[in-house]
Amino acid sequence: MKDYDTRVAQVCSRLNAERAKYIVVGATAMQLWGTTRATRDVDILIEPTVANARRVLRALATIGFGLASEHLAKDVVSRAVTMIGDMPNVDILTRAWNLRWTDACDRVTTFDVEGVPVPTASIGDLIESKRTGRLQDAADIEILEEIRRLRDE
Amino acid sequence: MPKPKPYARIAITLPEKQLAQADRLARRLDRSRSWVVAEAIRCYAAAEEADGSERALSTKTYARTPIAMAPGLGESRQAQLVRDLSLTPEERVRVAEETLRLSERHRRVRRHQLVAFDEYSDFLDWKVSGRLSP
Repeated sequence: MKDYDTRVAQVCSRLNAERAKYIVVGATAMQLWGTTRATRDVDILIEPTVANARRVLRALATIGFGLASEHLAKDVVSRAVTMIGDMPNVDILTRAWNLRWTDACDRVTTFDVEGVPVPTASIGDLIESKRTGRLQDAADIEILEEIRRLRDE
Repeated sequence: MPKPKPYARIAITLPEKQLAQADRLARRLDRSRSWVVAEAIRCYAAAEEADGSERALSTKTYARTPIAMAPGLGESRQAQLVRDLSLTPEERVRVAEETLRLSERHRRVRRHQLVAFDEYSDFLDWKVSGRLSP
């Protein structure tokens, strides 16, 4: 198995190998769109089916997330968030606040990191996922709106 | 007739711990200390009005009270964004991961954990209350 320098390439390469249906959201997605804000997490919004959750868990189990192999796919699907690991940490989301897979899957942009395709939520969908009222998320919305403005210039 | 001023200058006394928290937030969000204090009061008042009960002070308060942001980022954050956008996506990821590596250098505890949340709001509560999250 190839080693990658970055966590997002490491995680996505395995998810892609298992043909998992997922979209990168959260701070990692913000990095891909335009910031260098550090984060400990790779957040993925997944298609909430048992078959897909099984692919996701299988992928993570191969890269040091040993607990993934002990977890049931149906439990992942029935919950909003399942966090696995510590550093790195992968948050498996079946919803990102109000954003669901069915809303976001048609608006994905694929970035390339170390040769690995990384399907990423659109800026608009990231903003929707951060309308939580939390101070950090409100600050992130401002940054995302500014990124959108700067990219459109 | 002159317009009333939208701001008033006051002197307040805060516990040192809360003042330090306000300053940390201000630095992280590239905002002034005054903005953080005003935002905290605005959230508190909105939650009180919305709930009319002590439940408004629960940890879920933030989830029910959208924050009205003053428009625009601070100058330093804006300049940082312009610099960040001049990088490729992969370069940005590498810079961010290097920052994290430096900040985690002295972190002693490494845990293997699996935590699940039925509701997304529970996940946010946990992030706010229990975790050192960037």
